[in-house]
Amino acid sequence: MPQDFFLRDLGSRSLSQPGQAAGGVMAAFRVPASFRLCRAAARGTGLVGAGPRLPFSPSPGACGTGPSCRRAGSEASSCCSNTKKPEFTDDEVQNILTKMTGLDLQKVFKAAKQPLKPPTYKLMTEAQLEEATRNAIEAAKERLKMPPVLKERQPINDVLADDKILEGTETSKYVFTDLTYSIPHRERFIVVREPSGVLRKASWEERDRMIQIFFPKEGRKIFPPLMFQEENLQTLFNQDRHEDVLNLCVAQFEPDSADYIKVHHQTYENIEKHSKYDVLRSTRHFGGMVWYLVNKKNIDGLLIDQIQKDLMDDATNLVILYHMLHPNGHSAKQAKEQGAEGLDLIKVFAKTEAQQGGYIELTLQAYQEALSSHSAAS
Amino acid sequence: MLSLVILPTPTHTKMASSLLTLLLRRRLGLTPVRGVYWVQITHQALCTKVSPEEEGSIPVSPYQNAPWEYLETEEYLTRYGSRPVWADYQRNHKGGIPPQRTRKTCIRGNKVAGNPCPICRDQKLHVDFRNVKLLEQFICAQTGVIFHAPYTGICMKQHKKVTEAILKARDHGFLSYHIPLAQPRDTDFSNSHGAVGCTPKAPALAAGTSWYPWYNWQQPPERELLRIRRLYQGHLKEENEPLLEMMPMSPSQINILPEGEESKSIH
Repeated sequence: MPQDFFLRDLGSRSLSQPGQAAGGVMAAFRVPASFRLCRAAARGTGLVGAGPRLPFSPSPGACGTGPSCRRAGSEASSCCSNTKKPEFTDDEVQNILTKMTGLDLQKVFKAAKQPLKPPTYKLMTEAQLEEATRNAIEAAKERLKMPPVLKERQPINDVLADDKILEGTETSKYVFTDLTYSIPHRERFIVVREPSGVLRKASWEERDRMIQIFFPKEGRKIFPPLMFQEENLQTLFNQDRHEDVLNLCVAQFEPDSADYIKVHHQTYENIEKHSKYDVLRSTRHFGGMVWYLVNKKNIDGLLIDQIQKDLMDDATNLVILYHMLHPNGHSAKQAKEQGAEGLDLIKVFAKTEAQQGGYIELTLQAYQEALSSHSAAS
Repeated sequence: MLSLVILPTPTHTKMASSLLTLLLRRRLGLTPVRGVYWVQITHQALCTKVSPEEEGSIPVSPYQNAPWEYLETEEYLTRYGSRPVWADYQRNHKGGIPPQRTRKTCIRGNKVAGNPCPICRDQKLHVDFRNVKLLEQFICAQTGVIFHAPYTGICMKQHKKVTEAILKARDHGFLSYHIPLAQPRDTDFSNSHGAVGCTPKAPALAAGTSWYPWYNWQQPPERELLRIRRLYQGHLKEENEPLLEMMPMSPSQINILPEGEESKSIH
């Protein structure tokens, strides 16, 4: 059975390099790969409950937003030949991203401007303090759950009816919204009757506006704040308020809308340009930023920043993620040949595909010298 | 709308002040209060084109376009220091508990109330969404709440302007405020439901034909035609034009048509 073959093979290899192991298995054995693909495709269509249920549809980008008719077929046919590209929602990817985000309790539970309450003081034993810290860590993990990264949604252009007899009777559009309380907002019918008599489905912007009017969400305004215009965004970035921008963006826009994606990309570009990675570290947006940078093959600045801050695990994980997403590049192939691990991985990457390879090597050297001098001293 | 500056006069400028008050009295017939130096700015002076006679005599607040510059000047620092503009203001009211609303406005027409509020008394302070430093003085630093008018002492009209400016500044991003952590609204982003996904076009639309078959001209059956002709013999117009072009007419109207135009009767 192909399933047994797949599992047996995983057991025989060492799992020290998860990215490479997966890649190796994928490349060498086609039958188990296709089995996994078909499972993933079935998961996408919502038919099979075998895999772990993820909160967001696991394959929205490739197949979900297109017409439902061509979904499963195209995915299976195009991806069977080569390895499946890891998605943002994959477990391995999410593990790497959460580890890189870190968990600074002081930053997650920063004092926020809110109506004052009298302070509470508690006397705790060591054990109670530890339990309180554990609870705080759980709450922080909940807060650091990453917002979804999706492809841009397809515009809605469907005409339902064309009643020419109504032409000239009205002077404005009428929007009809289904206000049933218990249906999800994405299943809500919102149609617009134009003065020309055409009955069409409302566009995405109209939908969002109507749903916000009738079912207001906290933190969202009907018209987006003027903060998201170009000049104002630049002012905010200069004040290092990237986290505010992204939080407001998540509150205001839908994750697959064009505005959301554009604002996020602009923020990430600004951070990368000025190397302000610390602004987002230990927030829920760090994972999205890393994903964007790795997809754009622009991870040099982040690598250097991590090495300078002595976060070697994060640096190696970053390179591993890069290899997972671009398995056909020079760096991934060379690393696989040499079987590189840890610092060697970063060196291989710096030599092959990095734009600022020299700088990375210098920083690595400095780190190693500092490490050796520190160990010699102690 | 006239705007005013009231500043306490030191004694050596009595000469200048008396000259100016003479000027003002001649202009607008107002009796200035002793010890207070009134400068009246007419409406025309605030326009971009200032007529030459008024240019030299009545000063215009130079910070109209860039109100934030005033807060950096020596004059502001000597007057207020590092405290907010409302810090040294005291309302005049009877009794121990002040009224829960301040006055409606300090300036009505060209008249100023006694003891004007902190913003109205300094003509160079402009409430604008861009001068963040002034607006921050009206927000609590710890809670982010906008102070109510009796707290700062400003009149209700200025309080409304300040509130609007603060909200506008927050909207533009000049002022920071606490943004609550929000989760995405939906859980399923597959867009597979018919409400948001693509629905196949109706056959009439796909084919390009009209929506209802009766939008197009449908030739009635011959039997009907014959029946109608028999019914209205002698009163029908020519049969060449299709009936759709004509307004449907009642038989009485058809009778009014000239009798000579009768169609060729079929029967």
